[in-house]
Amino acid sequence: MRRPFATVAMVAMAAAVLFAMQRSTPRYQDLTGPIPAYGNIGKAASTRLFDIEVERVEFARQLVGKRFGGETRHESAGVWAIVTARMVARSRSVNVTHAVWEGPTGLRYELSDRPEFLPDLPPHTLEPGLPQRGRFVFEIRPDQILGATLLVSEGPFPRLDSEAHVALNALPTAADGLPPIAEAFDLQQAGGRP
Amino acid sequence: MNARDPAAARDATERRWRRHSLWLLVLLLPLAMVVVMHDSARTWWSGRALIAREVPTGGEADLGGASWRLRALRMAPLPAGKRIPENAMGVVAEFAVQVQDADVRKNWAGCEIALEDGQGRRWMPTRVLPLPRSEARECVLAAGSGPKAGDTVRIRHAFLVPRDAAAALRATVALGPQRPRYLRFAQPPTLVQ
Repeated sequence: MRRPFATVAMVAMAAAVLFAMQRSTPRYQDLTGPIPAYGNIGKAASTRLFDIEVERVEFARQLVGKRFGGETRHESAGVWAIVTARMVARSRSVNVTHAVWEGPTGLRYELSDRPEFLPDLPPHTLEPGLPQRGRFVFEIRPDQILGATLLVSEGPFPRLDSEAHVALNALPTAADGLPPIAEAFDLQQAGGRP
Repeated sequence: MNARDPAAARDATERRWRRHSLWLLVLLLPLAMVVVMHDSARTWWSGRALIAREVPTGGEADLGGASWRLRALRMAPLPAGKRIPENAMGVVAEFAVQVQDADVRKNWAGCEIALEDGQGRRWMPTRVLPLPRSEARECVLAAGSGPKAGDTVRIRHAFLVPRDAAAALRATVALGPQRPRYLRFAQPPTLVQ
């Protein structure tokens, strides 16, 4: 009587262990995915190819720029997020082409391609020993502002390579709990240099 | 007696085979690794400039079926501007290359002219600095124009480097099929204004 019971218990335990192993096995995508290099506002994230330090994050309803001598205005149903960062290459010249705004709920916003032909937008060509400022512009939902992370990498699919993960915390907030959102942001201000 | 002997002999044979298999495993495991990793290792090895051949000042050296000479390496401090960061120095490297083997397109595939400092940092050509027109071209364009054996082509690239590192920089030439070997020219940059 005891023997069959012990056998059933053993089989059940083995099944449970196998199930746990199956559930906890990392996927190939995760195993070979990007290796995060963490930073936050004011603290540089150091990846294999470049260092990046986010200096400020600004928000606006409209994006103002110049194109072919005329003024262009980009409106948005959401909010424009403009990230200004200081970057420098480490061991060789590098083109930083890819950034993602990852919201608090995991929504991922790629770089906006609407403000084209404007200075200081990606791709950012970085040289070793020559720190420079650059901007990343995203069009996001207002509820994705707080608790977001900026992901920056050289190319669009970093595999087994480091990717900067900059926590965009400690944003100055207004009375409504959100950071101040300007009516318009001029990408040409200060002669086009951030 | 008779009944036990074959069994003992079988046991001994089995043990021997087990021992052999174990030794074979020691041999086969690394061999399997070599077979699997061989391609990646070769790609890694031939994908980067690792072994420098020094070229003395004013000298020339053969690489990829051509004779390379560094005609000039000039540098000038640049004022910070729209696309130029602070403390930047512009460097222009110009080569005179005499082609000996006409199959330049194959020999020069992946041509990369760069500047290198003593700590292994590398600066790639920049497009930020506009250069005055001349017959000199970028390496890939020069190779694409299909020069013939006996022709001399001029290759020129501009670089953006930090001022404090500029004087210690050396020009390098790396070509795809010749990697990991590459040329490093000892000639230091001269300051022009």
